[in-house]
Amino acid sequence: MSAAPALRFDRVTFHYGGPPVLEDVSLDVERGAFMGLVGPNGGGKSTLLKLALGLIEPTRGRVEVLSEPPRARRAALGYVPQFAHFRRDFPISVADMVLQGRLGHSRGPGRYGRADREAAVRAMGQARIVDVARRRLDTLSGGQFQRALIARALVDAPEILLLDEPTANIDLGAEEDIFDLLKALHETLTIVVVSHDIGFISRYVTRVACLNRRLVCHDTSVVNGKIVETLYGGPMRRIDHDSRLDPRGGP
Amino acid sequence: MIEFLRALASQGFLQNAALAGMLAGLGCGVMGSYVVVKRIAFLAGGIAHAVLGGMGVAYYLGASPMAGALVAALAAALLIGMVNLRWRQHEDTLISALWSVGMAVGIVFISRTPGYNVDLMSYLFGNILMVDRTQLVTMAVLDGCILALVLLFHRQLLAVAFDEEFARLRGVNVELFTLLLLCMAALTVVLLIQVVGLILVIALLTLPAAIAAQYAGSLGRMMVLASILGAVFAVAGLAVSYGPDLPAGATIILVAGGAYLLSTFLVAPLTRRRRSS
Repeated sequence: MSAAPALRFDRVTFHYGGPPVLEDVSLDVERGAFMGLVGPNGGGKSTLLKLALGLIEPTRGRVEVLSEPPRARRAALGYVPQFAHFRRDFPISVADMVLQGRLGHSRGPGRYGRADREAAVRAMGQARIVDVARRRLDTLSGGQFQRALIARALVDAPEILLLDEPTANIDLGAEEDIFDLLKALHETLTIVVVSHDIGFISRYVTRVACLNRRLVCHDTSVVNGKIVETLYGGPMRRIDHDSRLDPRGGP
Repeated sequence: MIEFLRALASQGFLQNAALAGMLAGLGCGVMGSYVVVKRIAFLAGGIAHAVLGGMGVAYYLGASPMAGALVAALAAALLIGMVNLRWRQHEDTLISALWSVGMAVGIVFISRTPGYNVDLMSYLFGNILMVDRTQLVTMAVLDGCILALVLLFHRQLLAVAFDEEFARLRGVNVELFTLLLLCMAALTVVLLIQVVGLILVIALLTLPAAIAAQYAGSLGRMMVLASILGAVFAVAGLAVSYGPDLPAGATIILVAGGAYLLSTFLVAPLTRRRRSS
């Protein structure tokens, strides 16, 4: 049995008019994978996600989602953008934001229907934020807001979930909550999560790909010091997240 | 104040003015809420000032200035929308250019129009006391168009205002709804010109909505609150200006500005403390 991969990047090069952000990247993400995409800032991680979503087109090479062009399979993709992308003072409730994930289903004029509302409640249940459904975004903690974004990505029943730095702005306890949630979702979904926190995600993911303009490594399940050195171009001290004294005590 | 109420009961022109204020409040509350949350006050300002160009040309040709304003407002909205969608990195420069070139065109055409140009000031600063029945009907129709579009496409407009990229991923035609939003803002500008004039439009478009944003839990509630505030400011400004014979448009803006300061520094901090304790 050779099912097509969930995502395929075939010799992809991309630049925004200047020097290439991505160069000759070939990568397959198998169905059912839980892939961590790591690398330094500006290494092209977010760009790779945007290519997969069809928000930008590769300069050279080809991107496929479930063996089709990304735009054709957008309904199969759930996307959780970076935290910094949002203005938290926008007057909108969690439930109304989550409902926006259903816009592809109920097009045209008018209001959301009953099926949309039920799907929103289901997604908020999965992400465990039903209790804050009516709250405005600026009253949420960082972890609650992040889970609300995940619920918005889940509401349209995607096959592949793409997350861009989901734990960049939250404390350690909430970070573990997010990854426990992703681990549970991984039972039914293919997941690609972008992170700069190599040590942390390697405890959860089934595969790691390291990106710094080029694909530095991609078959690894464990990231060792040597890879970190290649990736960041110099010796680095790695902090072992398992050796904390208090599992709940963040900085 | 008593003097104003007595005059309001007996004078037709004051009744028209109060009604115009309320119609303007409705439009500015609804569209102002989008303008504030999407942070496009600068774009709306560009549309407002480019409108003078259309009015000047209409004057010169002997057509109705309001028709000229409407055409110019929609043309400016489409042009600014294209800039916003295509050339975002040069957005502020291009809109500044449109802003001032529009006004310059208006001034040149008005200066070439024979006759006494007393009306120019009333378009720049509004003349709510001169509103007649035809203009009231026009304002009501414009309000009706805006409300109908908002009721039909609220979900899409909200999605485009909140997260354009995500809306695009969920199949929303972002370009279409961005242009629609700006065209609706342009209609609102035309609606407000009669009341406060095109120089002061931005204040009435942003201040009631900015106050409402401090209290409302959703964009819909923000619109309702901002509409009520806009209508109250317009009528209150009219009442304050009546006795000492101050310019009505400018007084309305001062009332709105005072209320904004009061809300931002006194009322909103207090209610927030109560909510969090």
